[in-house]
Amino acid sequence: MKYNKQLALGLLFLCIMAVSACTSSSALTGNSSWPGITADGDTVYAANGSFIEAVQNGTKLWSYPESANNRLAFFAAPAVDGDYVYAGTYTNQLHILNKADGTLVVSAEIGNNKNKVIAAPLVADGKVFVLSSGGMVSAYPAEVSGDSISPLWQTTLTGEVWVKPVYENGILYVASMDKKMNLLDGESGTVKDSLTISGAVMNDPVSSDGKLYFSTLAKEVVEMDLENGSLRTLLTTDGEIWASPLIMGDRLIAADMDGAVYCISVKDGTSFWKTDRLTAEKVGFIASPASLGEDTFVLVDESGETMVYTLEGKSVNQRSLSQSVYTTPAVLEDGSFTLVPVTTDGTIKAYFPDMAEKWSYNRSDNSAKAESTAASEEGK
Amino acid sequence: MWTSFVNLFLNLLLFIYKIVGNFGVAIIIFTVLIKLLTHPLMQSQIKSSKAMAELNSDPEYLEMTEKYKNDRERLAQEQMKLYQKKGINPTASCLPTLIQLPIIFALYQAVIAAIVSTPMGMVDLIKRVIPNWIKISEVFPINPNFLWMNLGMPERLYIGNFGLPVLAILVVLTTILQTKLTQPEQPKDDKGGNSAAMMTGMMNIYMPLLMGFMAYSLASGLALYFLISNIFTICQYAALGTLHWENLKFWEKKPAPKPAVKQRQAASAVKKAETAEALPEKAETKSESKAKASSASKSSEDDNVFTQKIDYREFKNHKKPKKK
Repeated sequence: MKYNKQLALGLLFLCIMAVSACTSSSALTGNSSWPGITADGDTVYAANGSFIEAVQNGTKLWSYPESANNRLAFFAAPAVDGDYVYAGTYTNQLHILNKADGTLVVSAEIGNNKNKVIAAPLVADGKVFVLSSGGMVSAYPAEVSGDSISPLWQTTLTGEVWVKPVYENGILYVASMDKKMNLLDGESGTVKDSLTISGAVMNDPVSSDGKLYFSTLAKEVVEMDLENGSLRTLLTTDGEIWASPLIMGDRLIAADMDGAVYCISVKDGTSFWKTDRLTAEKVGFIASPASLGEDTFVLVDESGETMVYTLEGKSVNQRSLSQSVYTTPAVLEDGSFTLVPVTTDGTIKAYFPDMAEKWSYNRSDNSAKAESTAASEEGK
Repeated sequence: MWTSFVNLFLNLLLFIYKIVGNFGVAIIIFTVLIKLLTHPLMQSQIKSSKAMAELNSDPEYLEMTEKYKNDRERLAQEQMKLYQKKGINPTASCLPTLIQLPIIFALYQAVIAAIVSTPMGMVDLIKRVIPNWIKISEVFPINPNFLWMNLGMPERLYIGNFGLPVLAILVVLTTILQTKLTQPEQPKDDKGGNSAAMMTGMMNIYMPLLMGFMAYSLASGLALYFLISNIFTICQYAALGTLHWENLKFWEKKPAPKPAVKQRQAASAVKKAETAEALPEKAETKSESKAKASSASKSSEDDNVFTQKIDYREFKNHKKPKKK
């Protein structure tokens, strides 16, 4: 009997060990993502886990929902247009909020709730386009009238969609994870064409002067002519590229997952300069570079090391956040920029281009403090 | 250390996937590879099981069991001495099962890491991949679908609105089948201190349940591993000719094992006969002595009433023996 008990306890221990070993890994790679942010004027709208928050100068304007709801998780950067904030959830819903106070205007279910809205919604041509990991592309009227909202059209693509689309001349360009660039008619949702590309596109494509630029996991930056749909490899990198390319005038900036930065001519792909690894070992760039003005841009690596560079490849300023950052910096109207590290307390930090801290916000600290560099300088 | 182990599995899985282009098939090939790698352990398990089974009819073992039947601690000590003397590792039969546990955990983590559904998961995958083996752009996105299953999710075959856990049921059935076919029959009343037999008995009950529970609740990629692993183990035993088909005839009543003392009598009779055979000056002929031995053996088997010896089974629960 004693032996039976010991054996039963032993087996119970094995079961617990088995289940805990297995669940610990799913927690690691399960429903996890990083915050998405959008700047509008001097206000930042952050989708950071349980909440969408509007923060201005380090002070919270509003937060949605008022208290955490286990069924809601926001990671896709919200779209801000007119009086509304459009936010997608990880349970495949679109929530349209009042931009002034964050109250819910209307919400809609987008197909199967096992899918997620990872890509930021796009507002264009009087419509809001919402894309889900299940490959569903939905168009809703951007203007809300009434208590409910119905899709204008819905189309399901062959692959998952994780990145924000581009809308140009009535065509919606959607990169899907099955290495396709899909061209959808903006009015009807019909798939007009589906072009095969070298690798999956992990971050938002950007458009400039009738061209679409995107980086792929196949270590390439590709240019697509929107006129005729032709594809051209502009740049081949040493490491995989997650970050979107940045177009500044006639130059294209790309940062890879091995920590190298490239600057090439948009016209013909000629290299202006290239850095060696700027980051620590096993750390690369996930966040895309962001323009800070005419000739400077900001880069932030996975470990939170933030760098300001000129278009000539000269390092201007550098500062370490010492926290993981995967979110592309959002640039405010005064040229300062915000960084959102991966934390559970909803931290947002704003910096001037000289890397002096402008303000910081922390959800757990309700009395969010605004810090101006000018004030701190005065204090000194 | 653990992460490196998981990463090795992950890269191996992805490498196979790159070649075959189907994640389900990759898991099947991976399972077979693992089984082939652990085949030497399997062989030692079979050898050890055989030795243990033979030990059950060893006169020395039986005598010891009889002698120390009321002193379990002493019995365990003496058993260990005997195991050492005979060069048997009583835990060897558990070793392949225990070795499987880290493999199961690592495989589960590898499957979950490979079937990416979030950006964070994807960043994690890119960092785990060995660039010299695999180009992530070649394998990503991984198609998690195999037959009716999504290998990253618990498996259900939907018939109308009812989700039937086909794979979990198959895992339970094949685990029971594997246990029945690969283990020598345990004497049903062997409770006299044989802890190894007792442990095996417990494992036989709990293992299918544990496997079934894991197959039901965790990613179906893991359940597929369990199923293929069970089938392959049966094949391995079949190839070595050590399957115990008789264990499947559950409708047939099995004869009760011989009482230890009677077995000992029979064994000593055989020994005597052999000794007689070795001494030609003795009057008995070879055939006579063998006949004696066999009659001693037969009489001890057949005659349950007349024997004056004590049946040890009557000592269960420390009851006084009945006088016959």
